[in-house]
Amino acid sequence: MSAIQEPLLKVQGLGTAFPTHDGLVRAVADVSFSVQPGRTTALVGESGSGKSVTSLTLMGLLPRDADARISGRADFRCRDGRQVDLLSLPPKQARALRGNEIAMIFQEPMTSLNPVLSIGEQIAESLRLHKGLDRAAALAAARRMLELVEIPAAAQRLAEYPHQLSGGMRQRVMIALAMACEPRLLIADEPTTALDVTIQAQILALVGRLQRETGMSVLFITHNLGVVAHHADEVVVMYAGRVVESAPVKPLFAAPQHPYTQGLLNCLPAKARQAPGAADASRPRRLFAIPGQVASPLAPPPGCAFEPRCARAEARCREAMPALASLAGRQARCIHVQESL
Amino acid sequence: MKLPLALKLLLRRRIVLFALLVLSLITVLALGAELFGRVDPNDTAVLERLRGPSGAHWLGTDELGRDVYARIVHGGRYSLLIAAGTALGAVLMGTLLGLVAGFFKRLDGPLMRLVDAMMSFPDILLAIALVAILGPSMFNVVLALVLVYTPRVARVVRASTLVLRELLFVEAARAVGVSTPLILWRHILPNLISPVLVQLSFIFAYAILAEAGLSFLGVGVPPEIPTWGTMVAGSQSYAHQAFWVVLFPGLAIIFTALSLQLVGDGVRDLLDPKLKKSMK
Repeated sequence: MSAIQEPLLKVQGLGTAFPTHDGLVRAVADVSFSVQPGRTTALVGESGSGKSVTSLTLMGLLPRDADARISGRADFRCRDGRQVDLLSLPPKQARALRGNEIAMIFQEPMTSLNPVLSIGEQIAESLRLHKGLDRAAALAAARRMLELVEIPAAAQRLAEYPHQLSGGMRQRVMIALAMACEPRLLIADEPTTALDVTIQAQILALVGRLQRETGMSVLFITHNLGVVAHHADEVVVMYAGRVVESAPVKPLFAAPQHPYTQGLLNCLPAKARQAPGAADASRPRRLFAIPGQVASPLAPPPGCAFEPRCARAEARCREAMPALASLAGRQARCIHVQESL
Repeated sequence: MKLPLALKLLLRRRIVLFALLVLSLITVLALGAELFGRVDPNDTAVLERLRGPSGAHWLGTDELGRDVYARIVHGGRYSLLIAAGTALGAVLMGTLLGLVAGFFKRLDGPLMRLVDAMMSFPDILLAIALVAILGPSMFNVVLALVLVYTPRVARVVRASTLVLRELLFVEAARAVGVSTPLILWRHILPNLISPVLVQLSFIFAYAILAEAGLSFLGVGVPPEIPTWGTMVAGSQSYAHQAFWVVLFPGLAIIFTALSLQLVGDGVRDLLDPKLKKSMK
């Protein structure tokens, strides 16, 4: 794979705002990143950082009655080489793309399957829609998909209903459903958050294997940095609806630039520090925490969104939102980083 | 015999089983009226009028000497037909209305205000007014009752749809590229079967009573068609000298309506996870 390959998905200046009674809420603003073919880009951030809104905007799945105002562009390279902007695609074309070239798996495997349809029918639905297979052929293909995601006794499982499966099994079925049409991009919205730790590892290994076998790209949305370190190639850190830092995974973990990323990495249990003043090494160590809370999107701080919680905050930080500064293949949104250039 | 689990649980409750047996008996008798009833329901025998139950006339004869048993089984056919037509019609229309109102927020307001307006009339009064306008016939009675019961179904279906449309599997279906009509048809509708089934059995029971009531008041089916309602209505003035002319059609109404309600209760309990424990 050459380094100058065209990205599969290139998001530029994506913004999503929702009109509410208290004014326009900018859930996501000025988000830019790209996903390379066959690689994994991780979108990292805490709850409310806008990572899910970003993925839903890309999928065109925002609720219609939310009346979202979307800006920017997201160029996606289709199988046939066409370049389309996901954000301005007519609904019919977007539907033809969803499930076919771009697929998605969700956080809650317990509710993302229809309780009254059999597993086989649900997987077959996507194949019938996009590949035009008839019922029998689609069900046969569905069985192969279940085998692909390592579900034992696939033939019997086809006729079973979601309530007969465990959470891990259901997430495997969701993956089979998403992979049915061999998508070029898989958006995984916290796919392991609701699962046991042992099952999490299995599911992630499965996604990794499928990615190697099919050459698809993965946009991985998570707040789990451990998962990011193991499975991502590129990392995009989001805070309060904006990208604060983006970098390849190794440099990011080795030398985080933005104070927020530094804080996040410090929060990992492995970095727990000695309680101050404790001489005894056997005393329990304390987890680091970032003080304060995410600013309300209704009343964002005038300058840098992270300034109220930042240990390195200065008066200048309150003046204006810093721009995303680029340095050696990575970017960060902080005046201290800009100055160090 | 292999029965689905749901049916097995349903039959485990004796009262529901009994109600189902009563309903089957009534249905078989009504549909097979020619096989069991030896007498034409409209055969008049003036000399044998108002005779009590006997070997020749199991449930006696009415004021024109017509066999009450024959009239009940033949009338049952019409009563059940009207009630079934009403229940099916109301469920179809109500489901459509409720589904559209629940799924599309923009249509919710207008449609539900319409439903509210219809519900603000007392049931029987609305039915009387409609039949009075349309004219008495079996079809018009069904039509009037469908209009009366559609709002109930619409409300129930809308409430369930409001819950269903927010569930993740609807979003997952969208993520697979399923169009909105197909989402309604394949993903929402099958999940509505349980509440709709309960409504179906209750409306069936209401419709039996409502038809009888309308006929009794003289705004139902024309008197020459024997239904349980027209039987009670036609013979009521003879009740003091021949109780059987009103007692037996009345009992038919009561048993059918009661059995339907019991089955409806059974189905509802079965489908309500909170009440499921009491079934075991």
